Amino acid sequence: MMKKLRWVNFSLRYITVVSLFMVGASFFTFDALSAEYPSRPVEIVTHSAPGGPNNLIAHLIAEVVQKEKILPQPVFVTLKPGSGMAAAFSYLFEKKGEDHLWAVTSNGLILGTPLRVKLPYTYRNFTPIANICVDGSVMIVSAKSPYKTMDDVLAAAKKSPNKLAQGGSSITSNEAMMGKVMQKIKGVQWKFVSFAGEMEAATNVMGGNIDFAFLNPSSVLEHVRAGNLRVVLAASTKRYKAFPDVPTVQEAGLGKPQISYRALMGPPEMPQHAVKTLETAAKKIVESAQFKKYMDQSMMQEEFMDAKKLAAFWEEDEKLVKQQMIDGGMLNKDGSIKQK
Amino acid sequence: MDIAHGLMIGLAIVFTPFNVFLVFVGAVIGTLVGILPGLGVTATVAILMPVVLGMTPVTAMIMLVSMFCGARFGGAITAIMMNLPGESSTIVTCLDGYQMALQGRAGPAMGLAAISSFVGGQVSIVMMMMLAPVMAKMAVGFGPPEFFSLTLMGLSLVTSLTGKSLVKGFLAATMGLVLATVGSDMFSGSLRLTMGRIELMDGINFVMVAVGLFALGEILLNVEQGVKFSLGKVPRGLRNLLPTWQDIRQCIPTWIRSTIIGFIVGVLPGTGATVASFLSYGVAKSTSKTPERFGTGAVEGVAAAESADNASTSGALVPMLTLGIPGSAGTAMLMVVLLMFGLRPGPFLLPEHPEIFWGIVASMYIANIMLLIINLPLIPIVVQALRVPYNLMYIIIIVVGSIGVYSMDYSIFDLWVMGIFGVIGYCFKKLDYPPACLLLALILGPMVERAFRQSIILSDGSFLIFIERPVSAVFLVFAVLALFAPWLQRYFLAKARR
Repeated sequence: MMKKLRWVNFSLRYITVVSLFMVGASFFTFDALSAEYPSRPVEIVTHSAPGGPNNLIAHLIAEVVQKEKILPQPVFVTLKPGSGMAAAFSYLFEKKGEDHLWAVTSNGLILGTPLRVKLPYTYRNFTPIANICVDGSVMIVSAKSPYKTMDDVLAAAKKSPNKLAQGGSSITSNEAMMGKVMQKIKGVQWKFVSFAGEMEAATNVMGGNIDFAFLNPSSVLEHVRAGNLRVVLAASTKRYKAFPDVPTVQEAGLGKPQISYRALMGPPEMPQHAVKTLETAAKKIVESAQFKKYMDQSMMQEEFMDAKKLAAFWEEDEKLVKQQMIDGGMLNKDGSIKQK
Repeated sequence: MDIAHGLMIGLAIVFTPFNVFLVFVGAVIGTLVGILPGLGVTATVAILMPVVLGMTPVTAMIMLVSMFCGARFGGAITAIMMNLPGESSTIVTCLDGYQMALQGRAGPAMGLAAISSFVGGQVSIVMMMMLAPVMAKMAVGFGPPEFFSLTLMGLSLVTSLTGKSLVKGFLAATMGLVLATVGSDMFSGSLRLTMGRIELMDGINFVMVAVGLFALGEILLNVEQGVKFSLGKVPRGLRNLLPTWQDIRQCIPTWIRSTIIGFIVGVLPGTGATVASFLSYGVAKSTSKTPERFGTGAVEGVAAAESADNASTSGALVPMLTLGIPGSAGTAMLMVVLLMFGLRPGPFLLPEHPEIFWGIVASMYIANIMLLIINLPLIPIVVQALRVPYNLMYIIIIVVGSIGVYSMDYSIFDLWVMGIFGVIGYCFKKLDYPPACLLLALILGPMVERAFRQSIILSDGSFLIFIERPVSAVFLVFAVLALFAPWLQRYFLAKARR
């Protein structure tokens, strides 16, 4: 009898040790009694593969929050890469009413995807918290390719329709949409191939499997220096200081650049007190020196919008995205989803 | 800079008391991470990020790399003792490791796992130092068609993983492929086979399937057969708790092959340790003189899985450090850490920050040695856990498995999925279906599909793209060979015996 009890004791102790370890992994409601919010570590979900821009911003937020003591509790990052954005956003969608959870998102994905695909949610289901930054991208070709400028690429596309291939993260991403609009304007056609992430698309540009892709300018820098890649177009409002000779989309007469508005949002029906606290936290993060420094390094621009402004911006922007998708032939004329 | 000089720099950096201590801490944390299924190195690096960012880049890398090495070993412990794959890459270790444990050879199995990890790790670091620039070029040349052929080759290993009945192997693999299609389609974003469940939108994660099929299935079967007093015998005497010289001699050819396979697969972006361990197990079985022993407790099975697994860790670092392209989710997290420090992994990391590269190399060396020193003496103690009466042991297994599965998404739904696969695993055992085939297909299915569709878009619908490109063609030939491996092997063995 005693022996049996000892084993029960042992297994109980084992369970306790394992649970303690889980607390380290920080998702146990530790002091639910305290009324203070946040009462436990706040989770931040990102949909991009590790090393992608949204993922890096999430880690930056976690670090700034800790260093500047913006919240009484730490922020930790969860990665849900895959399926464009579906993995992360359905995770968020499941956690209705949860107040210790937010996500980094960008306008192209959260607004664009539900327009094109039947999903149980649109951007309206989620709770906007704040916009934190904007960034453009650059179009890259392999340094070995015959294309020296954007005109070369367009001429090649004109000469042999549907031969060139653009790579990118998903067909609803900003870069895919930009490509569609360009094709429409210039009356040319090329293919689009989805890859697991922007970096994978870049690898395939270097390897000559695809012809071009859009990428974060700071990820390109080293490869331009090493002579692997060449930049031919800047999808931003102004020319990049690092690539002064590269024209912007507008200068090249290719429509408007798709700029990523990176924002924070919460799960559906997030309690108001949480939104308020996180909104204020986001403002402090954006104003911190470390955030500014990172923005400079990554050639991004800080841009704060509070929850109200963000909601209004999304509503406006969705109309724009919809129009662009109709123009690009990704949707029917009335904005309904195309049947295959 | 030549290699010897670089390595000296690296060792000089790592050999400070504090850094060696960090290697130790990293190795221990890694071992714990490896034990829990679900909690992978990616999530752990994300959790540890704030701590790590307070260090200097080199010390941060030293700790994290040691953690990687530790996790690889920790996964083997639960795989062997509980048939519970703690890391996805240890699914293969379960196949023979657990069988060895049932035969009272848990100690030698874990010893072999430790030594195989050590060999795979150390040899692959040498390969990394010498071949990094060349291998990086290879990674870039590897496009969708090559990727398709490689993953198809992995898929055709079903014939080697299956038991007696080939039909059952294919049926299990087909089930795996069907399960792999669940979730949102990456090309169009539309939903497939989700039955309206939000939880299924991001697909079925193979961790819960693996825990269900292997661990829960085994438990259900044991419960039905009546409660045994304990899981396996624990032989007395240290000699019986560690692998014998004969075991080690038997494994040497496997180590060489698996390390090379593991390293190469690791270098290729997007594949990683799981594919490496499956491939090297398949190759080990198909080149063995006694393939029938595999799956019933063959030492080479454990050796193949563990050495390939570790070799792929160093392989995956190559494209990350030299090109800024992570080879696996784990190395991608290392890249995030470097980026957060303001360092840009890429063609200029090695010339401009040699201390990072050589620091990583040296800390992997030391971590591997340290893990061997920590783990070998621990084995006789860990093995004692087998004395735990089975009616308590299975509670522990369920708890560890459930916590692991729950920790991935914090979703109760996942536990139900795990439970369902537990029942399926039980049926598989009863009907003699190979669960490994299902898992292989579930893991490789999305990769094969993605690469296939990318290639077909690139070639405008022509299948010739797979044959026209030489590397892809070679892999396709291997795929065909792998598909017919069991018959070819029988033929050649019969011929040799005559």
